[in-house]
Amino acid sequence: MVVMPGGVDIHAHIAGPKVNAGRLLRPEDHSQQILNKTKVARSGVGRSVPSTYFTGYAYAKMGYTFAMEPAMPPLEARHTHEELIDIPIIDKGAYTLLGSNWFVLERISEMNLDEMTAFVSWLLETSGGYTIKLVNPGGEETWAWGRNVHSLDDKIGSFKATPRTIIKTLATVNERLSLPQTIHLHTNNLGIPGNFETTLETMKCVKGISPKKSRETNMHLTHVQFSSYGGKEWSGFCSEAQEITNYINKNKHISCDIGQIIFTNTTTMTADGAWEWALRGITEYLAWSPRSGSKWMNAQVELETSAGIVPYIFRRKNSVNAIQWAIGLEIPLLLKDLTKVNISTDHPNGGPFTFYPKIFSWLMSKKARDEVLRGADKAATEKTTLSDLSKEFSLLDIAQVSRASAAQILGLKSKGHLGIGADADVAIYKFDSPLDKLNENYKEIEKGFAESVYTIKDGKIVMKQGEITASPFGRTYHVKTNIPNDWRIMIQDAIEERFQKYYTVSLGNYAVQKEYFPREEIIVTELQ
Amino acid sequence: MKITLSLKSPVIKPLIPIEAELISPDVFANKELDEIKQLSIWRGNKEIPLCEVIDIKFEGQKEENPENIEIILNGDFSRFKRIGQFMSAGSIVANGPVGMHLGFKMSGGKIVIKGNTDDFAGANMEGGEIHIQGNAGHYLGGSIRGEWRGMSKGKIKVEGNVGNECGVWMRNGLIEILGNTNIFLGMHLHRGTIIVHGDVAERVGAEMTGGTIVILGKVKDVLPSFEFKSKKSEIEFEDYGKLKGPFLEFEGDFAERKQGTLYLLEKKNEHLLY
Repeated sequence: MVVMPGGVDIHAHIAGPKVNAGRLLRPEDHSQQILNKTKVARSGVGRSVPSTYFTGYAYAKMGYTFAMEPAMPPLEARHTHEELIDIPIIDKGAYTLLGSNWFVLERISEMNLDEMTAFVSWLLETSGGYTIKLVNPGGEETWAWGRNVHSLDDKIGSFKATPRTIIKTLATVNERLSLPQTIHLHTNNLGIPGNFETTLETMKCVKGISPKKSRETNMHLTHVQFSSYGGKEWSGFCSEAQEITNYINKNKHISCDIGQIIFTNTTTMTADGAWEWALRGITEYLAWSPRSGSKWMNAQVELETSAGIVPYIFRRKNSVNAIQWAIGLEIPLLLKDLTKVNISTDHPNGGPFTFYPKIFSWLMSKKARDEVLRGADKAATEKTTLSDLSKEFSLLDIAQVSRASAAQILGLKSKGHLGIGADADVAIYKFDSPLDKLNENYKEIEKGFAESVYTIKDGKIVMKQGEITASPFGRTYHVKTNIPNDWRIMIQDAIEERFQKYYTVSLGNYAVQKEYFPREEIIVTELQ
Repeated sequence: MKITLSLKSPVIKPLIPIEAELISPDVFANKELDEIKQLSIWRGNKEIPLCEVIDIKFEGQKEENPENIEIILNGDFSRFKRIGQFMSAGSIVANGPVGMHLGFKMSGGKIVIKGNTDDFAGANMEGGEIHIQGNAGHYLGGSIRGEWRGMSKGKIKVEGNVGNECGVWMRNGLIEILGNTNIFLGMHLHRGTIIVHGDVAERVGAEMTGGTIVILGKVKDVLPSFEFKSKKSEIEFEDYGKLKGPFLEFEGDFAERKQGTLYLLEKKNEHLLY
């Protein structure tokens, strides 16, 4: 038996308008996986976009007890929290999208940092968010005009802001508010060949910003696999994981999650509407999709952000997909400090979160990796360094990258460990092979992690050998920052004016009130 | 081995549909009579054993290979859904009507229906053969909701009429219809062949990106996004044989990629040449 603290997922799209739209767009996904009702559990369907209750049970089955929804438009915060309430067992939270908020874009050139700090603090509190999420900063707004930003210094619409100023300002504000987590960033140019240069530049641009006292990082690069591509065209597509990991190894201020892809049928969904539109164009050339391209969806959230959804099938024999798969594994294997990296699939973009056990087996066993490399396109061997990497993770390393470091990056003191002050969230696994021989029997790793023997949440057994035994409410984590009252008064008129002039909802209907948090954990921070 | 399933007499038509995906040679293989009787099916939200609604007769010995299993259905099975779902071999013969989703994703074997079928017969089929002697509903040989990869292999023959959107999203295979069909025949057709001997309503091959539709009856109208190309005296298919014309050949759909072909029998469709 192996005892670990409950798993912590730092980045998984599990609730909100985008996920719900994904469920509507993909009725065929529902019949792929069906959960029957039991005495304690509700029924559910869905594989890449599972229904709310099913999501909670599926996490508990793998021994996970915490997951974060990473893209919540403030306007849709109510919807997101309504769905989060319906996800049982696990604790959860949501990141507030701020990358293309008009208030931020307009005021950035005037750079009144107090005003900006007050606004971010107000917005996080109103939307019940956990941290600042930036998705293709500035790109969401430019996409409303049919264009996209391609470098950190591109102009954004009619505003004076650039992606660089947005990232820098919000990173500074984040540290001033001493939020538990750093800014959570989805880079510009995501998914495009040669984007590693943008990623490097993005990391460099926040280098000087001093983090709050209790941590050394000031930026979290999310699903970094999608931002580590080399080559100028799709034909020259290759891995630049070395460059990215070199930077993270040398500089202490970056943390990341990998965004591994899985060779399976999944749904891509992100607030980066421009990229989803580009991806739809790519599907016109892929054999699995209709000749006129895959079905797709795109949306604009007024004054705040955009979103898009495209179903996608990752194929072993597709050279680009094979390289993407290899990059995802190169990153954790090349990073020296495992407290800076997490396992994620950017659920459901790279694949459903239910495939995490498979990723553990790839990380723990070179044999497992070689097996996939043999079946995959030869580009994965030729254009990446994965086949040369002989490092194999121990169970302790897996515990680090699947729970401890995520909890640390999120600033959660009671998660990711089993010491004094920890929550009683425990996962107990059993492997049919001796623990020192797991790398030989990699199928046992996958089997063992896929179904915990016991999952314990808040001291209560919730899952016993795949059977749900209890389905308690999980807590919603959100932050509250104490800022001087006169700062709030300073921005009040501007916010009210904005709602009167532009928003389709009134300010009174915008805020998420306390009914949306039947069980909550408020993290209060002080200004620094 | 022969298994005869008859609805319990007197036949009470169950108003609530029954999910009968286990009526398939693959499920009945390697099972004794008592085991088959106790298999559970869902009627609405209630789980009931198969023998509660059906009388089961067993001829021959327990059979391991589904290929040698023949299932006979006697009675009105029109409220039984998903008969023959995922079947890979063997045969099913129904002496009356059957319900929705007949032979969903079947990959082999043969189904003969001596009555009518409901919607989605042969949806997402991957092989095998379906022969319907009555009429078929909508989405014959089509695809379930949302799935863009429809029927990919196999043969469907219907002697009666067919509803709307027959062969929607079809990727390959052959559908032959002796009767008439309704609107949107072969919508989103990707590859494969549809042959209709009767008349067809409008909007044939809407958004088709490949494949062939042959119509030997009268077509009410062709979409404006199709263009007349040439006349052909005879056409031939590998899996069907020769068809005597002369035919009017149209290509389309121009709203998508114009890789699809429409053959309409000239003598019944002269009104389309203007």
